[in-house]
Amino acid sequence: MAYQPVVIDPENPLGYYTGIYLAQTADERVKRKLGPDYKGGGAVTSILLYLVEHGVVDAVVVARRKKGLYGETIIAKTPEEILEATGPKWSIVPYTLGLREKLTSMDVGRVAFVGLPCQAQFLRQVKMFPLMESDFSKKIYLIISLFCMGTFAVESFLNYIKKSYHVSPDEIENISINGDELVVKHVRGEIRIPIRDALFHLQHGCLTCPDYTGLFADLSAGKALKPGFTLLITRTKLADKIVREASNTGYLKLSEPDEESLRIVIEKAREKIMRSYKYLSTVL
Amino acid sequence: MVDNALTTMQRQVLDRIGGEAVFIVFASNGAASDAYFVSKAPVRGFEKLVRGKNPVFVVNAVMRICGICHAAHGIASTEAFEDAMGVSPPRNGRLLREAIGLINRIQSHLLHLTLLLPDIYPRDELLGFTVKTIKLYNKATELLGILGGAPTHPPYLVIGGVAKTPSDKVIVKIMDELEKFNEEFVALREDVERKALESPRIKPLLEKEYYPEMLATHLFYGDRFNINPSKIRVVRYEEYRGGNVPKEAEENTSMIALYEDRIVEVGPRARLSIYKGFDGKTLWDLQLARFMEVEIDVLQINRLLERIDPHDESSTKLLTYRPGKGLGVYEAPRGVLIHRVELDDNGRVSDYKIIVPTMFNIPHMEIGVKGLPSSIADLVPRIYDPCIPCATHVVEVDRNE
Amino acid sequence: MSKPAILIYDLGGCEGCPLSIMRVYPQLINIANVYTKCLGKVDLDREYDYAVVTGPICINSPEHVEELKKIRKNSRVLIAYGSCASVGGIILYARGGQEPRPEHRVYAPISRVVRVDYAIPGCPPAPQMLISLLNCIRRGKGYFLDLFRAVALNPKLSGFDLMDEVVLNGLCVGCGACVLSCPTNALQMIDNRPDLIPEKCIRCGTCTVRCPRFSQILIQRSRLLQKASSLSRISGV
Ligand code: SF4
Ligand code: SF4
Ligand code: SF4
Repeated sequence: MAYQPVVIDPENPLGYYTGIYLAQTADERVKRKLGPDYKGGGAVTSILLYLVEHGVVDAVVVARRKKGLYGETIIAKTPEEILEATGPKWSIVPYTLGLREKLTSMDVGRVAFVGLPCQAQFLRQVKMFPLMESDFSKKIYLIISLFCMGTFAVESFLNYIKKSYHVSPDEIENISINGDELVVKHVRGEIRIPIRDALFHLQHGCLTCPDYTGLFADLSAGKALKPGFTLLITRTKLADKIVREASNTGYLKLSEPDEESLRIVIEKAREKIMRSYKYLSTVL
Repeated sequence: MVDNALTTMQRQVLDRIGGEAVFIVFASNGAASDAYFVSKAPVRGFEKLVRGKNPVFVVNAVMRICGICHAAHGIASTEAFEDAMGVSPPRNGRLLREAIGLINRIQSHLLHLTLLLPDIYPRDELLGFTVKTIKLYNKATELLGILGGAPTHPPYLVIGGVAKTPSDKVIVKIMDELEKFNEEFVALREDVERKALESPRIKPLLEKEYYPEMLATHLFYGDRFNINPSKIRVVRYEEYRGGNVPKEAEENTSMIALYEDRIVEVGPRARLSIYKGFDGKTLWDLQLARFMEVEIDVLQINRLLERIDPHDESSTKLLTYRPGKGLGVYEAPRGVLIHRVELDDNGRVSDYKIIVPTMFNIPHMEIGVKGLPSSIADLVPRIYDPCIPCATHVVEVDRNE
Repeated sequence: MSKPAILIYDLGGCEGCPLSIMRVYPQLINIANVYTKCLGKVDLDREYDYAVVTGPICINSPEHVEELKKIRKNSRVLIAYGSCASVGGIILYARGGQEPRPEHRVYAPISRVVRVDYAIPGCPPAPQMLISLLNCIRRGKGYFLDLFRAVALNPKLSGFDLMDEVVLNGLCVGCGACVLSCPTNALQMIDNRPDLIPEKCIRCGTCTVRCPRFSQILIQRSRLLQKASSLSRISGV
């Protein structure tokens, strides 16, 4: 069996993996879409493009930002749809009944899923331990998880921006991270919010979550220290193969991860596990 | 009869049947002279369980009476509620429901065949045929997954129809699959029938004629106007046997159903006899009837699917909760299945009654075995295909009627 | 290596669970020697490497309780398979009083009567589940294995518990895993939080083990429970 059992352990916070890469998109469409001042890597989008354009999967399930902090889950089958979903997500986009219906009725065989660590856990369980006869286990081909320190309770966070900075939700155009500040672009300009202040608006459930990188995924991806780069952690042979192929076919540029990026991701992963222990003990 | 010196008693825990039961057989000179079919599974009491509940809950609950004929219970129950609430499903819903029920019937017949194979095939050929039959069973199961939302306890069966209309594409796909299924099934059937002629265990069944009075309400679906439920009497097992039963049989967890105070046979042979002029009189004909049913059911499913309009609704969304009484009659894989419901002022269940086919058929297993070698006695219940989860979990004496 | 012996035994469920296992029989025989009533006689007096028990236990049926105890004694690993056996499922609603055995009143997950190694909800679980589980048990570790062990120790799991422990408790993150795990569609997303349609919940427990928060709580609780029980053993309480 290709998949290694997951053990959550602060001594080994990245879990089992087969490779770690520093990746950068090599795809012009992705670069154009991200624009010059975007600090993320676009590597995930590039991998998805590779998967769809080379017929490795029939569709990908991704979250697309609808407006401000809200999003929706879509099943993308074309490069255009995938490109449209590019960019960071600030809230969790729930899986809904509609997703199962679409997946089962649509003529798709292999599907790649991009989600947050909690969703990766769900998908892994569906794939490995189908508790329901109607589970779409056979369609789950690849699980990609984005790094996650927690997601915002949307209404609460929006209300905070409105009260403290007088920017209303429909005025927000984009949110990005710069160092330890959140940069919120809006129609009239830009505000910078210290991450510390924003943390208060994280969902409580996220505080008990021990998973930063997505231990249950085939492939975990998140921002590297170096601007424009993505840190990729492959956890299965399949993921490893896909990442290499995407690089061989010109979608990605891969390099060795730098020590500092590695140190930080390990630190954050451990911090999240410790944080979860602390909060969990209060709710048991 | 026990005083005869040559009389022996044999107690056999039945395997390869749906559920848990013991067959007690008395034999003189090796031939069965009397028998007692004792269900052992505990009584889960679904009739009591659903009282006070919302109809939506009840449909989901009663499907879980049985993991073999789940859809049959689902259909009988939705029919009963619709009758009580005064709604009826749209055309699509009726077509789909019938198709779902028939796939369930095919599922059940194939499962039963798997259980029967060890009596037919010699050891060295058995595994191969078991695997083959299970693979075919899995095909039917997959189709129910598509049309019913799940292969077991299909959630698309709802009051008012069927929750989801399949698309054009899906319908075509199912029809293709059915065609392939049928080819494989016909081949398997021929083989089984041929092998059965050679099997020493089956041989006595081929020779033994037993053909009691038959009861069925429809060839494919079920019709509440073809039966008079007030003529059905449900009695305790000891009462039916006239009191004098072995100790263990007093603990029977199943009841017996009589129609106009007589025992009647229900199931595939009854349906085919009444609606298709089938006149197989031997015990083995019970199995042949099952085979025939699979084939005509496949054709019927095709006819039903052809008539579905993929752009139309399959369920009526208009449900009113109100007091009422309803009756649902459905031809389950093993015969006529009856659900009766009464709703209180809030539209909740105040009374629920279920009569399952195995309650009609238990007497025949006991009578049919008479005269057969006691070494093959267990084959008679098996050929009747009893379903203990159904029989033990739902039955209550109805003394007030 | 000789194949392990596996017993599949139903205690009075709907038979949906053993039948779902039958559907993977062609695969199962490659990794185990299978003993089931569906194919012939079974002997409860011999030893088995695995016993897969389906259906709930009727506390008021001494025969069944005895049978279950015997199975526990004779099996190395006992798996409560399906919602009825693992968490009670639909049959928790039973209230007895029905002819011909009105004394059959109380049904429970089998872990109420014997020690269970792994408990698997699902009404019924998909056929592939058992194969995956056996593979996983062989490897001996991992989050999901811990989870199924935890279910054996905390069988009170249903949509109502999901609401109480996670959603109403403010721990829900809105991932939607539970909504996609309910066989009767009893959960729906309202404003990014699941809400239970109570009349649809059949208490199968699937949603709870699929919830990342609840599963974590379960595992943690079972650790505490185990610690407490080993402590009490040491101190002789
Ligand atoms: S869990 Fe569901 S499928 Fe399994 S025995 Fe119980 S009711 Fe039947
Ligand atoms: S909400 Fe659904 S999944 Fe959860 S226990 Fe109830 S029926 Fe099962
Ligand atoms: S699975 Fe748990 S955390 Fe996710 S939406 Fe459901 S209750 Fe919330």
